[in-house]
Amino acid sequence: MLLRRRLRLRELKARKAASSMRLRLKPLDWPILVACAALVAFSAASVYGGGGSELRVVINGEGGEEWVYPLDKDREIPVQGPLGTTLVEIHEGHVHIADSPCPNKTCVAAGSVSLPGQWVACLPNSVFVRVEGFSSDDAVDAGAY
Amino acid sequence: MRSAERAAAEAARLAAARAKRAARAGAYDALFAPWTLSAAGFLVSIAFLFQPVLGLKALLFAAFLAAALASGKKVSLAATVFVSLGIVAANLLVPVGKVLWRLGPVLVTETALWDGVGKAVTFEGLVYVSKATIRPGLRLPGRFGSIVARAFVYYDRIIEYRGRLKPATLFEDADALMLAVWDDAEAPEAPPPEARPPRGALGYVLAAIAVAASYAALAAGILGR
Amino acid sequence: MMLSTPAPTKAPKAPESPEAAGRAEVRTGLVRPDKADVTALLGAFCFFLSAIEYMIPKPLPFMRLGIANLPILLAADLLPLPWFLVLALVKVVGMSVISGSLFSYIALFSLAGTLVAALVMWAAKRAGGRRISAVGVSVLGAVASNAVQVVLARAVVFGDAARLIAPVFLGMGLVTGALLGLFAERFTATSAWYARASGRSGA
Repeated sequence: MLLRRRLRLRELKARKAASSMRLRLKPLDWPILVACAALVAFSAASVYGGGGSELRVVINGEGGEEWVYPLDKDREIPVQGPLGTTLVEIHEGHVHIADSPCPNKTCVAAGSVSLPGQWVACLPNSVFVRVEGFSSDDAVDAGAY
Repeated sequence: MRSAERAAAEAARLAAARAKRAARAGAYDALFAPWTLSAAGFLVSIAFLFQPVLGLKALLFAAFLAAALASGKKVSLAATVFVSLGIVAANLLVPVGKVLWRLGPVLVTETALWDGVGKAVTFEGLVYVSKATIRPGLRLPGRFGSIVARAFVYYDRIIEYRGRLKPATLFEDADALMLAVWDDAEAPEAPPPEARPPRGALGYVLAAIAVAASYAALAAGILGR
Repeated sequence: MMLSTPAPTKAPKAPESPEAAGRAEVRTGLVRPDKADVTALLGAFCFFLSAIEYMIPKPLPFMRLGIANLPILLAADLLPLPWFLVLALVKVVGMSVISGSLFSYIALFSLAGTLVAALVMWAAKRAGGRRISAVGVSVLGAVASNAVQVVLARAVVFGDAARLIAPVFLGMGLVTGALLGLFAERFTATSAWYARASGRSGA
């Protein structure tokens, strides 16, 4: 019995789409419908349109190990290398090496990066950190060519 | 025709399975006072929800699954697997952590994977503990409970309704349905079936053990870190 | 000649219960309908529509279509706010008990979605008055409800990937909300049950 009701409901939905019998809409309905449709369109564009920034931090360590983290969330990542533990830190959309057991610590001094293609590395400890992905700025540049 | 025979055999098998589950449900419900069981279920759910160690959570999940099966509820492992895979897949979409596998453009990362598995286990575990501890005999208290009980009575009437709902006359038919269910003065107000109090203490003991075990696991999980 | 009073052929049917007697009075328009009774009846239809909705295959099994909110939409003009909220709770708690999911995230989604839908629908109705129809009310309720459920899904189950289904869900809210609103508009205008439940009509 309930199966029949389910099919009826589907029928009803199909027929409703076809016939709009004596629309009883009132003045405020239209702006509401338009606003909600705009909301749906906007969310579709922003989620599916590839306009957002999806930047990622990719860390390569010794032995081909790889780690991936989103750039937009603060995080501290200890990476093991032959010399010890390198501390990679993601902070407010930037990534940098906070500490490393290498003698010169040039990697720490190298500062932070945040754009795709940029990188920092601690070569003595075999830690290579780069920023990957695309952002809306990127798309504009690609279009300029 | 062979297909008719097969359909009949299938129907018989389903009916037999339903009867077996009903028997199990009867035995299970006879053990527990509904309120005790639901209160225990609530407490266990909290301990389960906050359990930090995934392995312990998985053990609890297995226990809930077993309890739900023992209680005669229909358990669809296929649905559980499907939903769990969906949750894990959704969590894998944003890669986080050490890369475990790379299948073309798809990355399977460690942290995302365990997050997804944890969320799936939590989600399905809560579903099963609910199934095992929320039983039909449960009466809610107070005026709210009496309204819910009356709603159940009306619901039974809706299910029993013999009239038809045709799309062409949908509004009239729906109206007739509502009037018939509401005005049904002929049918006596069926009092909701009172759950019989359990005959022994076994149910209380089992419930207490379940609660204690879940909290012991919670303590172990928290302290073990 | 002796005139004998003919014996009555049928004894008058005594009402089975006070509630049935009360409903008989409502049928004849003598008494305003009991709010608890209307709430219980609409709650029962929420269960019924939830059962129907459960059978419609969906890719995401625990995020609801919102058909089961139709009785709540109808109740916007039938019940005062306290009973209106009781109806929403009856729907959530009743369905959670029927399906044995009270402690799970499913009930959480149901609670959040239904309460948000109910509150938004109520507010829309009160703010819009005569200038808004059930369509506007229903669309606002459905879209708000689905938005809340997506946010919950992101926090609790899916993680950041939940935003990928957000446009689909908001779109579904718009469509089902509009369809339910059209149904409600026509139904409230033509239904005899609705007229009685709002205390408007006589026999």
